[in-house]
Amino acid sequence: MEIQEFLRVQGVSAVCGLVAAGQEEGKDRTR
Amino acid sequence: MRVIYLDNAATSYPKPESVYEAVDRFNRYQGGNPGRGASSKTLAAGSVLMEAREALAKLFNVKESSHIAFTLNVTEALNVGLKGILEPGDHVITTSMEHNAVARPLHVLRKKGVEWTAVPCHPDGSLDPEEVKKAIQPNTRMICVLHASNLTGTIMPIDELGRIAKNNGIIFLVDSAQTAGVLSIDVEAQNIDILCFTGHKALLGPQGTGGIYVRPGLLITPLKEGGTGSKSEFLEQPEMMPDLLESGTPNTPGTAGLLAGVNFVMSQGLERIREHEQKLTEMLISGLKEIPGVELYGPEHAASRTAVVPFNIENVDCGEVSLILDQKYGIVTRSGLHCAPLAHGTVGTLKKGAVRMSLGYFTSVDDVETAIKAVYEIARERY
Repeated sequence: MEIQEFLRVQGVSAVCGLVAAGQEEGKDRTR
Repeated sequence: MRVIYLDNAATSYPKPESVYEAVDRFNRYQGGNPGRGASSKTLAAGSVLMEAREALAKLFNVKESSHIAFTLNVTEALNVGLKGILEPGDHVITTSMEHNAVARPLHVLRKKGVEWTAVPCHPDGSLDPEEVKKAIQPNTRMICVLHASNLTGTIMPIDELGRIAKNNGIIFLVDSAQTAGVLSIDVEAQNIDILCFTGHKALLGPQGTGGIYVRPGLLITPLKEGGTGSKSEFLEQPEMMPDLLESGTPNTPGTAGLLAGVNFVMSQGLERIREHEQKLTEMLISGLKEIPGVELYGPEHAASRTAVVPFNIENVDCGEVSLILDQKYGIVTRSGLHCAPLAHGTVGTLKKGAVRMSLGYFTSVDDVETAIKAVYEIARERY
């Protein structure tokens, strides 16, 4: 499950989109 | 170039000299495998573990030090605390600021039938305990919270959460990764049933150390079984603590270092350590917030947070800022998501991450002044 979907379901409102500017979950080695 | 280490939330550096000496002394002169036989070296190694357990018990006000088991790190301790307690059909409540050390085990447990509610925190990471109370269900087995966020430093109201848990017959687990060694923790007064800690952050020990306290009477299933040096005539794992959770040769050299770290912390006193870090954090926040283009996250004042300050410079990638700080100024920080995507989602930085500066007991006023100046110069050039 995507992080943002999980947070949305939990009612966390400050969520930003995870995928942007070529940064996909698990693919950014700085993380 | 002088190196300024501002990544103490990841691991503290440097360590007190006594920590380096203790590890070296054990490896070079002591040796021995604790609990394996009765040779003088074995007994001496066992004493290291026992002394460390006693020191930690004193620090956390644990009545029975044998109920502290050593682990590789706090992540292992959290895995034991979560997977060793929660069963299909159980419900667990956390905050929306948890580290992946909690989120990932719970994600696995959820697939096995454990229900998980992550109570939303405010964008500064703060939590309303009433929201936790509202989330309680008839099948709620555990409230699991981090004592302070590794992203924003936000300190959670564990006194109140402990009372809520106790009043409702719910197990209370605290992840003290960011607080053990800097904030006061009292498992009795705060009604903590399970306390998970790391040794290599504010406790100033070496990496590869940590542990878990489990309240006497609480049944917990170990993640691993094996040799304990006790009750070896039985195939069953011993049920007594700490043997129940300590299979295999422990990290005795590391624990010798951890003992030295805990002794150092106690000799300085938590109040003095906290006062130093809080003063520097306030100074860092005050300096950074005056810089045009810098966006800060977390509570406004240092009193509500540990010595962790995340920020971004508008229109500059956090990884680039961290790289410039390191290569041009010798300032070590951490960029990205800090293994805490839930927290970044709560703060609103899931997409871009942040640069995190985290101070320690050995950080100086000069270090903080230099860091503020460096961020100012980067922002002036790039913003």
